[in-house]
Amino acid sequence: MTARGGRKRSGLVAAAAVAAALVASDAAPAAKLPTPGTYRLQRILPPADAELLDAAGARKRFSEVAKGAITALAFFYGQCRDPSGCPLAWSTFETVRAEADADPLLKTRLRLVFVSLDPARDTVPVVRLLQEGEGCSASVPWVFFTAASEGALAPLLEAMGQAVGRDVNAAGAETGALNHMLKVFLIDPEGWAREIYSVAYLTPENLLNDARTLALEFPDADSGSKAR
Amino acid sequence: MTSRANLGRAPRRALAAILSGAAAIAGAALADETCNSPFMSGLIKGQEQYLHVWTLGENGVGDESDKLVTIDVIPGSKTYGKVIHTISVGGRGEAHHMGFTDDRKHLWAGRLDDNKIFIFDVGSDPSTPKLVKTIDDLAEKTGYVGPHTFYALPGRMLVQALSNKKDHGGVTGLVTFNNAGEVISTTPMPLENGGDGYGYDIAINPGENLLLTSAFTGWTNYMMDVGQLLQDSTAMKNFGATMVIWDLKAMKPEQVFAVPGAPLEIRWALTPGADWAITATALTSKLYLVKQDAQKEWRAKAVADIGDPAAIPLPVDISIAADARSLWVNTFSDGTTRLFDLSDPEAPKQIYSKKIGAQVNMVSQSWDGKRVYYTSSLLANWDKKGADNEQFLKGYAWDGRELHETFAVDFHKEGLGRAHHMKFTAGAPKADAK
Repeated sequence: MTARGGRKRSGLVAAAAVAAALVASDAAPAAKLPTPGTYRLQRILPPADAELLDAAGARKRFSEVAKGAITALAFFYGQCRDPSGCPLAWSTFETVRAEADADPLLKTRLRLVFVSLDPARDTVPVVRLLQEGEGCSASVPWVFFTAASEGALAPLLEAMGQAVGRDVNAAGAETGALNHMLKVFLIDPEGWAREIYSVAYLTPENLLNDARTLALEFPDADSGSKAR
Repeated sequence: MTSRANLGRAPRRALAAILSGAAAIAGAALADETCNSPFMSGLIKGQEQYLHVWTLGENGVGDESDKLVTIDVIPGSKTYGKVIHTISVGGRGEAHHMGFTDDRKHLWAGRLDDNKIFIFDVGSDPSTPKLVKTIDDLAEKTGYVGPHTFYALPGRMLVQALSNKKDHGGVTGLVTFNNAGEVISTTPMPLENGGDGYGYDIAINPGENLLLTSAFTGWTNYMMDVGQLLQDSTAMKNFGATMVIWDLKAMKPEQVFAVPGAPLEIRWALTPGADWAITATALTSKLYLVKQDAQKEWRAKAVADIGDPAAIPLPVDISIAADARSLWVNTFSDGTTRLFDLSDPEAPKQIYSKKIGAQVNMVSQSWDGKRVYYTSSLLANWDKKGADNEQFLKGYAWDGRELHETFAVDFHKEGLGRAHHMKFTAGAPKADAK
């Protein structure tokens, strides 16, 4: 089990590295973003919910996971190899976490959340491996979840507008890949999605700028990192 | 500055293997067919399969209702160039423009008169669009009327209105919906610092965090008979004469440019690093370039005439090539399409023209530029009368020197109505197609 999960993790990390390299080499000039706190992010989607499983196999409501903190949420699956898909979210989160760890405004307010789109293959032991590798070494928490089934996850995907389909080859056989449009969601402490990033807009700078804006709007936001 | 992820953890062999297959995917994600939002997925770089035409119902033609018409454009298909599906939405409300959601699963289509917005499911089976939602309270909820441009943002739809419910003039605003069709914000067009408050098109450059808007006219004018309008000197003063550059993230206008004569469609150059946009003015028949000057200040300047401006050819839709080296420009009055060489965007040159019909409005080209499609209707009360009121969709092949007609659909003979905006689909799009 460990070896299988380990391969999954190293594959995703490798793909994340590729994504980072490609993005870095092909990067557009950093957008001229407004100063944090000088603009207001729209309330795009109301609070969403579903029952998830954390790395210990404990049941957690997503609403409780997101409550009180500024949450950056991405959906992923462990076998994703598209560098402009899950690995891009992964590399972006790594950079965001490194920056946020050094930022007093975000250090105790920002939480990163990865939720698997693939509960059948991304089992609790797989998620535990990811959690052990990424979740404990920094002040900004990065927590990983799966779900008991696709049905358990569905309400969250539907509420967030995150469509998923199984990829098939020309013969109609499933390839194992999951077709999904990469979206990262920035969620306020009340559960509202306040920004959504797709490939053309997903940069660490953009996400950090918006997270700082929310931190100024919600000075009492608490990721729980103070208690760790 | 922000640092990138730690590459050192990636096993070298896995990295090399993935790199070999990844490079082709990466750079393609920032644009779609040349006029669509850069936030859209599902880029059709190959052969489009279906072409959807948002069609105005017309008195005495078929069921007289506005409708979404789907044409098979798959080469070799038994129904190539034929209407394979129509869905009438009921009534006539000045059907006009459409736009896909970010995931390309839904197509929003607006009506300028009764302000209804129809949302079609084109993801489940694009050969058979299904109406899944109608928004009929835009004016009540926002104060704006005339939903014109539909421009995808991640998880949202940004809609440019043309008018307002108070006086039906040109002062208007932008409305942001979430993809479920709920209004989440309104933004007035600027009236300060030279702004005239008018709106028309939307074009976003995400790398620069910039939104560009243009300006047309209000409900009173676009619903007026064009012959009457041209004789009304007061009404003719009520056309937009500005473009606005916005901070996209903050949705705040940053600069207003004087662009006389109703600047319409805006196209950003899609080539990496080419941070300029181009538009055409309807009443003054000029191409305007929006670009930074040597001091890095954004400017808008006229760079070419379109035909003979004194003859009022009435430039309407434009379509930029994916490599930003050429631009199709339609002129409604003479029914002509014109190709401009944009290799020097500061000095576009017309290099080709062809008469498409008695009138022509919209133009859409495939990503590779080899197929170009035209439709005829501008506005119900601005279209030509009598025999000149030709209503068609025509498909052409472009070989680099000449347009060759490949099919034509007569929208009157087919009992459809006035053919307006076009959008492509291709098979059942994957949710994550880049």
